[in-house]
Amino acid sequence: MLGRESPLHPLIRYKLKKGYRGAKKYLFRQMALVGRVGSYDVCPVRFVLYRLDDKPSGARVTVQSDNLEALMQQALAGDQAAYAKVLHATAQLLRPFLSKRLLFANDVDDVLQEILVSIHKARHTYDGQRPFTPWVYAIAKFRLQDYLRTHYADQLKQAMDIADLENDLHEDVTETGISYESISGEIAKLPEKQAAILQLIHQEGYTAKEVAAKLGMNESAVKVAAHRAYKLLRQRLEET
Amino acid sequence: MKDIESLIGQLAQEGGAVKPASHPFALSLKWIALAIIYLLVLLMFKGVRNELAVAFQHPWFAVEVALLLALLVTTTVSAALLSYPDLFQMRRVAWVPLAIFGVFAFALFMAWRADMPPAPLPVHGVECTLAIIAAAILPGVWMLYFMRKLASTHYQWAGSIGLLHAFSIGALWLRLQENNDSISHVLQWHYLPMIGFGLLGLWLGKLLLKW
Repeated sequence: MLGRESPLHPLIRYKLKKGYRGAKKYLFRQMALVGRVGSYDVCPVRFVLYRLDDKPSGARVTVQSDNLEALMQQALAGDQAAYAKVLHATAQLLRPFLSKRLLFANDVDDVLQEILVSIHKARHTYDGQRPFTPWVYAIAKFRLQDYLRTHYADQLKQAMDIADLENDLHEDVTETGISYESISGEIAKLPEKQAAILQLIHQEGYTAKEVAAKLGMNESAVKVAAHRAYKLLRQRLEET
Repeated sequence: MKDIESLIGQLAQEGGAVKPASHPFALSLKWIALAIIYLLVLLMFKGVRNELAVAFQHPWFAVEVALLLALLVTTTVSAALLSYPDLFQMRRVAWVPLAIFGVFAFALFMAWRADMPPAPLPVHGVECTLAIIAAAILPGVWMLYFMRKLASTHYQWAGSIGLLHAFSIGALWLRLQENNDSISHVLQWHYLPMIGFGLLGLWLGKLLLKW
């Protein structure tokens, strides 16, 4: 969205094109301070720049910042129509800002209403001399934070303590009372041949074929004996 | 959407002419004038220390008093700015008291180093803190009252700075009134409680300046 002859510092322009976050932050800060950067208006939601004389007709921000300041001055002097226009334009300005930050449309409406009421209450703190949008965004951010703080505090109140759930949770399946020592003890109690097979396979790391060669048995007999040993071992461990 | 439209209609109907609040610098000038009048009244009733002219010949005493005065002025300006939702778009000015605090702490450290051999400690202690608090109550109340009339979006900071403004009036008064040259005493009983006052301001700001 950058124009042909941007008045922005070339480094900022480069960083913007590259999508550096720092550049966006800089612009946002500038926006908060003066409402625009050079001869560009900044969209605080999408972090894009619009030339003031080149703003797309479909852009959501339909009222120029200068107009808003003049309108607000009239509103402070008691012009109700101007005040309604300012509030309409402000609602238009803030809706995308809120939609980006809140999930549900009814939340957006609720916060927008709160912001409009806050603007109404605090309108005496705006003098019509300084940029209008930073003033509006300061109130909007304040109300949004307030809303989110209350929202999360409510969620926290409704949350259950993990200790309360402990009795309903399933038993721990990864931890049993069976220890290495208890298994070794039970293996020692198995018939001599089965115990020897399990020891060779599991403690010394031999394969069934090697065990068969060592004990002078055939391989399938070793496997059958090992299978019986496992079954017996499981029974005994479950009993303990 | 309908609700928004009807709300705008309702607000527009209620929106009569409103007098904009004064510029924060004009506001701070008023508050500073009020603080100085209050300080003078206190000094008139309780008197100034006997050898004030001699005390001002000690450079660190003069620096300390000047910085307390600077603190009073900057906290007033900052409190006025913090009372506006957008800090009157002068965010940097609002944080100037922090820099003054830094310089003030450094000056106190230098004064403490220069206090050799140390000046004798006065017999009293906590009475000084209580006297500062008593003197700061009224300015604290009027600051929070004036700030409440505006619309701060940084209510905790605003409360804290408002109370520090009040405390600096009390501290300045006691420094000009009390016959005491012990910097250790001043550090312990005059300025350390300032931190507690600042924290109290955070809480009071949340309680009174939220809108």
